[in-house]
Amino acid sequence: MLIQLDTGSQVPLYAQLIAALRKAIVTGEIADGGRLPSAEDLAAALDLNRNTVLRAYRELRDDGLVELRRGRGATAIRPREEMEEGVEKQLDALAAAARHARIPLADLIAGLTVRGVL
Amino acid sequence: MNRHRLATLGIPVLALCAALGWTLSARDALPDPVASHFDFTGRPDGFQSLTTLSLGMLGTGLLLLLLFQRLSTTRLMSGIGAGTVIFVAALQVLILAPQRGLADAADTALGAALPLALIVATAGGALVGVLADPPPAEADPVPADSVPLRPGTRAAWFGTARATGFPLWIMLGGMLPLVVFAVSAFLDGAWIPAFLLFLTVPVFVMFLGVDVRVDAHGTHWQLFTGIPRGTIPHAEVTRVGAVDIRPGDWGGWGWRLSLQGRAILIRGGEGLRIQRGKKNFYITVDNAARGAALIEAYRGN
Repeated sequence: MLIQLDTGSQVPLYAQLIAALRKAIVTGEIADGGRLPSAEDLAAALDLNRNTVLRAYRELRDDGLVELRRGRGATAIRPREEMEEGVEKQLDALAAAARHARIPLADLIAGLTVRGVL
Repeated sequence: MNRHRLATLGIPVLALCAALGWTLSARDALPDPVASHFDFTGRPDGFQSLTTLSLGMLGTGLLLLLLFQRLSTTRLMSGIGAGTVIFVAALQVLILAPQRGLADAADTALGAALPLALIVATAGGALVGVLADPPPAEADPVPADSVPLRPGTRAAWFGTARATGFPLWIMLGGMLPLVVFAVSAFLDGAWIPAFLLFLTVPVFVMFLGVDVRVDAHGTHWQLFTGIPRGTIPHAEVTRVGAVDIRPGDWGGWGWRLSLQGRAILIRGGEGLRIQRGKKNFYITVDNAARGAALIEAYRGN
């Protein structure tokens, strides 16, 4: 699983971390039931606070993508519906198109907002 | 079937068949039960029916054949594998031969059966080693595809390898008798052997898996138990790539040393090859190309 965070972005690191983990789980890069790195390891690897990682894991648990158990750490739950994977694929395509046309993130957010994304 | 298969599979199978054929032909002249185990002085101290002994020989031979088929990727391992199977077959014939015409197997004089079996096995193994034609190893590592690493980016890659299938069964199969021996030694009051045997169990557990992490600091690896672990700083890496690792080239699974370098082999297949100066470090891990790409990106920065 490859995770990349951009420290220069206006998007908070923890939100980027959630997006990266969501992508890895939904696309199957982490297998269903697969173990996620421990919060300590992930924090050390990305120079983050351990609590930031735990917060991200808790949010993913609330979204039904991660199971948190004492002593066993975090395991991935791959969603049954194809819908989430469809969104990730469209995001990949959108990101590639935006990079190609040099459209900044703010414009993408505005564009999604006028299309009714809450 | 190619020449390699014919040599590494055909010759040992021939040896097993020959031993079985000879046993069947000598059946009427042999006592029942036959002597199957001998003490250090060569006197028989274990007896079995001919059928049990022959089935045991066949089972052991076929199991070893299966194990070494996976490992026969070099001439040396092909020879060792075939020699081991031939040894099993030769030993059966050589311990039964002196029992022909005896009324009671307890009167068996073993003679030079063991050294003779070793000579036959060595000769057979050497023959297979000469005839074997192992497939060549992949010449060069797969070049890593690049990961774009812009300034201000923090990137980390996590990879794992778990022992599954064949290596896992080999490992569990090796652990079970050790645990049984350890428990029986403990019950017999042989504390020190029991303790030493129990000490070997964590070694098996260690090699059930490995976790690899690549971040800005370097490449970190740790075995299933968390310890042993290690870190390779990116600055020391001179070359990195994803390679196909064959346990046969290393003589088996686990912690391996050879002229090629060091290796941690949890299973066969995909892995990282990290070169530091003239030393190589191999570690099996899934999706190794991705990890290699990130190491390469950090090295470039």
